Amino acid sequence: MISKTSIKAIAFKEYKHITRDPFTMIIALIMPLILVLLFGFIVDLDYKHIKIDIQDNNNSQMSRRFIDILKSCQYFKINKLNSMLEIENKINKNNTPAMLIIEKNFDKNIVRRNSGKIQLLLDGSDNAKTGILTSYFTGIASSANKIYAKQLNTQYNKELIRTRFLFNTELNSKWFVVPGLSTIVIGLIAIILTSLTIAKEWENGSMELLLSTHVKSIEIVIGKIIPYFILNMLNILMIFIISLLVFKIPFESSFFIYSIACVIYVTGALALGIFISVVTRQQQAAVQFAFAVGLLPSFLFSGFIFSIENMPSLFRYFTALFPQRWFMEISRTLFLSKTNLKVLLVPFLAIIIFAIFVIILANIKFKTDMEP
Amino acid sequence: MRIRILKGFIKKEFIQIFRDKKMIVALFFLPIIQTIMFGLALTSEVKNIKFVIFAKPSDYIANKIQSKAVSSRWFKYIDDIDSTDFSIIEKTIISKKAEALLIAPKENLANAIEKEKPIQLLIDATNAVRARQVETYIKAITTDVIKKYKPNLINNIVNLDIRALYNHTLDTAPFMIPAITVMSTFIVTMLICCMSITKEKEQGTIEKLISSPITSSEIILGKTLPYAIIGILIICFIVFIGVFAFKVPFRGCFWQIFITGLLFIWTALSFAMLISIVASNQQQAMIGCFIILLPAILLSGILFPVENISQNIRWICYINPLMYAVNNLRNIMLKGKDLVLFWQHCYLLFLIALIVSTFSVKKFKSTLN
Repeated sequence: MISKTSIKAIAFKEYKHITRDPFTMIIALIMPLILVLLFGFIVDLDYKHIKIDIQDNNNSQMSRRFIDILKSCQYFKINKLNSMLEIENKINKNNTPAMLIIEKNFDKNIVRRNSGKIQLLLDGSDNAKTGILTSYFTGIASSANKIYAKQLNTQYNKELIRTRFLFNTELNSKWFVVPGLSTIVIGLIAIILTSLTIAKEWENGSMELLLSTHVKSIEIVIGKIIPYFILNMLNILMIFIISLLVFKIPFESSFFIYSIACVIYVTGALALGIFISVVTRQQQAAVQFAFAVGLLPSFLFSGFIFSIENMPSLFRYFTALFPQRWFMEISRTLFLSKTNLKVLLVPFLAIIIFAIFVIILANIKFKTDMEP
Repeated sequence: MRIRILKGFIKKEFIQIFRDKKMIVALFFLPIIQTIMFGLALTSEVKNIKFVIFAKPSDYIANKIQSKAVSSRWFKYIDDIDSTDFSIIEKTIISKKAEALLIAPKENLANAIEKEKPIQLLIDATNAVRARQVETYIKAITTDVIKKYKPNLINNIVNLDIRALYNHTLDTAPFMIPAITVMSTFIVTMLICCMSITKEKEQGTIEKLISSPITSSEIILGKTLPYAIIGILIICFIVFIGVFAFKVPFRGCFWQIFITGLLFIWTALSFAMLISIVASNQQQAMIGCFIILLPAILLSGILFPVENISQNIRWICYINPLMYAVNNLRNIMLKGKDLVLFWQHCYLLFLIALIVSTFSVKKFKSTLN
């Protein structure tokens, strides 16, 4: 049987460890808050003041008109080039995000054939940038179409498709960044905090003392999780309040469901940290594993930036192993849409299974370590 | 500085690191596995869009759009539902059966186009970035179909001929592998150096080192050089995998990677030393690394372009060593010879490294003496 008193005693001991080192506790409490606040404010998905180069081979009223349209949209800082030599120079130097070359007969082609050509060269070394720039330029081309069409009195491409973005109508980047980033930060801090706890005991030799008492392995695991669990729940609460009050993110669903999801997610992440600690038994290795599991995969495999749907199917299943992916889905849906719970059934099941599975695994591994 | 003593010290460090076989896994296998997984898994091309068209089955244009969507490889689930009942429309999007809905007006699409009535497109924007991409893809397909049906309706006066230089097909591997090289190496070297110094502090063995006839600069070099070597090895492995397994082009020279690598490992190690001066145990050291690593990665231009960061705070990016390192590596691998920009970035990296390291070495020496 699991005894409550021993769990309490272990939890109290761990609590003493935490309070003895106020630096760690303060950082663990404040850092996530600061990070979410900072990045919620500074990351803006619209990006502006992009330096672009233009070579105007036509130099007519028509082509200057196009440049004016570019200037008026505020996305760009325009640098005009004057000769083909300069283009070649720029390309060889590899230092321009985008370069527009307006063809020689731009105005004549527009008047005669209703079709002028502009070449757009993009720096493909940064895919994220290239994607954004492409969509900006296509938007500008279509607004240029309208203006030229009016001038020439021809029929133009009317906006036949009217898009409405649901749940985040203005594509507000804060609504996108804050729930995502808080998932990652909370998960990471939970994993790294507990990843040292058991390794530390092994390294300092105090594990031998613990083993000589009648405490069971599962009691140690649970007792060690509890204080960090409280710490993390405080974190979540603070970040949640900030999301609502400072970033004014709407919260459309029930708080109750969200808090249950948080409890399961945090438990799973903490247990993962304990598992790493049990397996490595050494703080240096534990830290490496904790960061390797918690840092990059939680940015790249959680759907925060790179959508899971875009991955090859093998990896779509693979990402299912990471609780961050599921919690990301839960928190985005709960924040932004009034949803029926059926949709969240799979994510919920996934984080529950993950938490139980990791706790059992940590316990089994720990047990075999403890028995001589 | 005595080479013989330094050699002995470095040997001791290596023995300590590799005594535990798990460390070899952590230091070399994890970064490599990460590279392979991220290289294979991440794409910025939008795929598996769940797309539903609301139209009558007899609607010719809707069928055309649907078959066009099926034949492109971007869509996963395409359905058309014969209804304009709004409650059903709402249901499909809330239950996540669809992330994009095209709603034809009451009469069929062909009629609507004839009369130039707008067609509504609804997109689930819980993920704002994806929503924007989905919109572009669907718009491209529908305008294509409409253009075939009524060519004079869509008339592009200004035609853009878009070409992406250096990475024509916009594959993700050439774009992510340099970034992963820098991130993995930075994380691994910084963590291991910081932890090993604080471990000596925690266990009191640093006192023994101080009382032995080793000068403080020898201690510092002995504590950093082994990790610099490990860092360089990791860079070599990842670049090797990138070039041979993922066919990332390599248009620069190897010495350029070597110099960039040395410089940013130097910064990583000086940051590690700075943390280990403040931290008194390994837990604090780890938290210290967390404080530096997370903002450094977020502000490096890997996850968001640097231009996405609002102008008032963009200067933080310009003191971030990761940004220069990633830029340099991308330039070396994808663009090739451009020594001016290369040296510019190297120079800035060098400055950051120099400032951080002189500060931390000075502090470290004063704590040793």
